[in-house]
Amino acid sequence: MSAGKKQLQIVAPVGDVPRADDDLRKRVEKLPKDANLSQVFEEVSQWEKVSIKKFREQEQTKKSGKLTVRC
Amino acid sequence: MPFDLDLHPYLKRVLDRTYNHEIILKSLLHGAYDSNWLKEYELFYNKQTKSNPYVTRVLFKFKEKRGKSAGFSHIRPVTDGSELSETYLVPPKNLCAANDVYIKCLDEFDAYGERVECTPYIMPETIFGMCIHASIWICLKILEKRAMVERSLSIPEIQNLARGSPYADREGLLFKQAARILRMGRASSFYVINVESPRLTDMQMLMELYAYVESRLPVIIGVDIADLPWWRTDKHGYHSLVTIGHTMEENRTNGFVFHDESLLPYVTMKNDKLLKAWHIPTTQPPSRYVREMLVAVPPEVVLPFHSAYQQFEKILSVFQEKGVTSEKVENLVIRPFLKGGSELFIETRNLSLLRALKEAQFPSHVWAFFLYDQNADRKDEKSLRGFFVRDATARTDLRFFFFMDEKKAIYQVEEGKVYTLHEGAKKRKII
Repeated sequence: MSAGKKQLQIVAPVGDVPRADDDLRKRVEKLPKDANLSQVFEEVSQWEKVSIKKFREQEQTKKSGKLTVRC
Repeated sequence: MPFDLDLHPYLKRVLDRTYNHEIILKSLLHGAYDSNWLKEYELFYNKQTKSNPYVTRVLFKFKEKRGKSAGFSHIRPVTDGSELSETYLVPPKNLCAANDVYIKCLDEFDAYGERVECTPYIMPETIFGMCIHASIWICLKILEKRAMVERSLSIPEIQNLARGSPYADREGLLFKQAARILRMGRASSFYVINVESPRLTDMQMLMELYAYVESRLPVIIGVDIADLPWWRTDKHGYHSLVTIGHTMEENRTNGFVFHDESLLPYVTMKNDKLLKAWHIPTTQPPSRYVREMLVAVPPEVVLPFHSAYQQFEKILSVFQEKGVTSEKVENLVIRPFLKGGSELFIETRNLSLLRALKEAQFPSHVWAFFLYDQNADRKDEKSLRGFFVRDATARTDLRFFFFMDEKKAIYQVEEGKVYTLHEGAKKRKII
């Protein structure tokens, strides 16, 4: 990836950007108003650990993919 | 031996509909080797008298005088209906950046002595596999080229890994099984579905698809054939496509490019048509579409796009509240990449950025979001407003923001310490 003149390409997102999920929002909102950025980053790190674990668990347990792909 | 195209309806359809006859026959090679067909031959077709272990290699070139080579397709000598075995054809000319079409999974393949810049393609024999098997075959070929899997597999080998027998007998696979096969090839994989928490909206699913495709990773999605324009059918059926690129209009990604293993390579579909087709077929109209997608990522990568994106967005909003930056996410367009840390190259003369980058030491794989002005001129590099980088392996605490206008880096390289560094500042400051 480069920000050089020749290589630069802009590719935009496809539409509205996804909103931050509720768990993350609540975690950050719980912080005191005068919390410094280090505390915010720390909270995000904690959320990320849970988020990855949750995503992996859901991958294993999702029930909706019952139909086989067959055409 | 003359080559009668009318005897090969599948190849004819590809030439008619994908290429609109812009490529023509260059030469033929009878008795060519094809590793996928050889497996199919050994396991089944050697019992048939009309069969033989070799394919016909049909080489193409562009129609114009002294037209460039366009690659080749292998025709199976005997088939149950899907005659194209390993196929390495360049994209049609109209699918190019000048027309705002970006085929991100293009690579230069050295296949059977021919060098072709393409995305490999195959049609499955239903004895050994269905569309999903062919989708996996295409993904593995792309990933093998990028050293992300140990080796690619033939379709019977894919079926054997999935079910313990090389014979599929018209049985497809679940997305979960496909994910396992990708993992067995030593890639990692993300299986994303929109039905469980976090419930992803249509736009979020499109954004997920876009993020991985933009990272040059092929993505398998499940669609209903009744909603695919090129199928021209009312019959419902669950079908897989491999997403290999995207299209754009006025700085917005407005569609995607696919390989459809059952019908045509290099087909495009706009977002509205894609959203209509991207669901599991049901007899009743679903109140909410179930959308599945599967992508293989390097084995070290554990952070899916939406987790990287959500933290980017949340931190950016905190920056706004605290007056750290004036950039607003709603005014930006974002180009996400999953990249090797060493591939991330930022051309700059900004000393504060250079100092910060040196300290950050990007890990093996990162999510990098490049931020642009929403009304940016695509050719103007000044429209780059900044970037965000997060360690995609989640092994380090690296999070790195940079804002161009303010010439300011805000970054974390170790837990609990967030630094800011301005242009001209002598020292970084903990914030």
